[in-house]
Amino acid sequence: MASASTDAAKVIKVTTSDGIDITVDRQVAERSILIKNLLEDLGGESTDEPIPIPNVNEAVMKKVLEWCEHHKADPPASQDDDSDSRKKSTDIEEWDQKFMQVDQEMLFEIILAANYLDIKALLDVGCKTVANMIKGKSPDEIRKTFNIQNDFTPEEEDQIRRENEWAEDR
Amino acid sequence: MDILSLPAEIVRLILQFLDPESFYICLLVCKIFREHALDSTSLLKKQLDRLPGQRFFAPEIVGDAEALLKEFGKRSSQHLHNGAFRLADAHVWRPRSPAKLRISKIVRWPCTLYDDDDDPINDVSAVFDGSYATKGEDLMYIEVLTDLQTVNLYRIEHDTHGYHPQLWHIISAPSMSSFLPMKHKFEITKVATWVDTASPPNLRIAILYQSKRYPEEIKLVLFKLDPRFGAIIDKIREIHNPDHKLVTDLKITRSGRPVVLYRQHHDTGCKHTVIIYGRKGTEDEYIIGTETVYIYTDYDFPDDHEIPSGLIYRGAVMHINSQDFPQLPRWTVETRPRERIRGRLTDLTWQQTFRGQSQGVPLATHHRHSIEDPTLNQGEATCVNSSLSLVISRSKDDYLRTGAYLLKAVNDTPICNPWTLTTDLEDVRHYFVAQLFEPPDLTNLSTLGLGIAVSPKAHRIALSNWKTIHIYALCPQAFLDPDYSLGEGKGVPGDYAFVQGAGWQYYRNEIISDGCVVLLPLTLEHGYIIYGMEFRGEDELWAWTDKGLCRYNFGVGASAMRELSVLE
Repeated sequence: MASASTDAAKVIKVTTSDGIDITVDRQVAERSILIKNLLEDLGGESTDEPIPIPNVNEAVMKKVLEWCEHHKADPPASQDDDSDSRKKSTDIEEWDQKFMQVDQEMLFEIILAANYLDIKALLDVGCKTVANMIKGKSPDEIRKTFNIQNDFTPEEEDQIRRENEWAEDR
Repeated sequence: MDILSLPAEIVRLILQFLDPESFYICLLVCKIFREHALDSTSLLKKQLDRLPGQRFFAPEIVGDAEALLKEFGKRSSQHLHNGAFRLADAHVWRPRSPAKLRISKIVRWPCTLYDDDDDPINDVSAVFDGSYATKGEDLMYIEVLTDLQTVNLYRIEHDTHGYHPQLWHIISAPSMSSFLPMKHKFEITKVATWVDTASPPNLRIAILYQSKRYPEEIKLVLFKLDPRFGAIIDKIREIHNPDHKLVTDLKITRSGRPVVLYRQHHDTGCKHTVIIYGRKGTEDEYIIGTETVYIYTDYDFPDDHEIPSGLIYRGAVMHINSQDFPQLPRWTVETRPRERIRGRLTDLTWQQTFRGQSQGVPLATHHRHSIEDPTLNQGEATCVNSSLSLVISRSKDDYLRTGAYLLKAVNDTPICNPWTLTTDLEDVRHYFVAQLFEPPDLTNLSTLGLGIAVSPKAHRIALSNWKTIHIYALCPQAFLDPDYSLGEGKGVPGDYAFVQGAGWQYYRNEIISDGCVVLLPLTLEHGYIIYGMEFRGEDELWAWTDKGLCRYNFGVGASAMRELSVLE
């Protein structure tokens, strides 16, 4: 039979930017390197004090924790996670694809939260999702997708074209 | 919250996840993406590294984001990672009258010229006056109208709206009624062009008229194309065709000699014949008049299962292609040591290298001059010639290749004799260096055969079948010239012919399969039946189709424009 203090160590509380306390398994929360380091700084002792997460609101935090729950058993990020091979593939596993089927506002909030909470794998999934939204589109289609204004003057567009011209002399 | 409000490091991470093509397009969206790119030489180097190209950069470029960005833009355009699939402009000019599309054609002119020593003159712009041609990139559309016995010549000209066909001259049979009597009902059966190397060189056009009423009567009218006066009749030659053979193709040799490929139907099948015509009399008859040509040489085909359908005049040699693969020599007309038509071996084995005669459509050549190495030809100064050609083969046998490949031919010799694009050798060593991925379905070709067009500098190959065009970007010198391909990298010692891993470094991020770099196509599908194609420059393809004359521009200025005009 587990002791009460051991049980307490298995769950933690986080307080979101809108003042909501969320109870979550410590293993799940520790997908966030930020939270993991905070807990380690506390010496591994259980704490009833919620950990403040001032940059993430409840809705986004719940989404992030949903992702962490699903990926709690994943191996930690490898050492070569900055390698180019990681950044060349935009393959996203099926569950993550469905998870990321949210509106753009939420998508960017998840990305920002993943960046703040230092969840590299979630940050990658978010950025890959955005990259996939860009792929296969023309400049106009990208502008429409992300509501971006074309701020190039015609002269600047001509200049870019000239710079991209290749003159084959071989 | 929107994408542009994300922190810079996150935007850069998104940009790193993009393939080079999407990255290129992203840089055209707004200034902020460009600014993010310019803030990170690491991002730019990674994106550059994913493109084909030299792997070493000059020190002054490595740390200069502006220079890296420009280099990225150029390489993306060169290798068609510039969104050409989505951004290619298409302009169609619909004809006013129905055209005979199997006879109509686009020619790039002037063609290669030859000097008195039979060497090719490369700088044709120096030979032609300004009103004719520059850089050998001018195109002419020869439109043969079905009912009007008329040939319209359109020059592809440039104005503020880009290149467009401009009617230049009209050649109308009714206006030549004194030579082509109306009652004989002459119809146009073939058109050919050639460059007369007389001084000044002159593009010429030959039109073959056959009488519908008297099929044995054929007239070949040779025109000079004068920039001021248009098409001027130079000669009219009468060809007697007692067997009513069907004219399949016509070419004119450099010396102005007509060569005709005929087909004659029998109860048991078809007989094909090539006739090279000569001319009685002397060469001083530069007056309009008729003369009868006599058969100079008459060749019959060896018994073969494939159907001859066209003539290829390359250098001073006449080849014949099969119906399926126009432009690929399948037979060669030999005048020496004896007169015959000789079949060529066009099957491709699965071996990585083999010996045999020159193959396919020549793309580029390379010459390494006077190498002195004790391990090479016992230290004797040796030159290494190499060439790159497009080969296409189709076979039902498992031990033979089916597909489109780039083949590198190599030869070393103590005699300095650089190869040209017309060099035709009997026995050289070949190496497969690249595969054109998923060419049009070679097992299901239309009666038009596989359309093939190569850009003037061979950086683009277009293959068409029925309504589909595949365009491949390539850098021929990446497979031929180790100094260019490897940059400052080291090749295999003693591999002067650059056959070990040719192009592998340059195409490091592409798939390498069976030792071949795999080149992926850009596919253009528009629903038109393609009758033929020709490149103007490296980034503009012209095609004549059942819906009219089409121009596809996939250069840096392309913006997915769709235009429709009338050919006039």
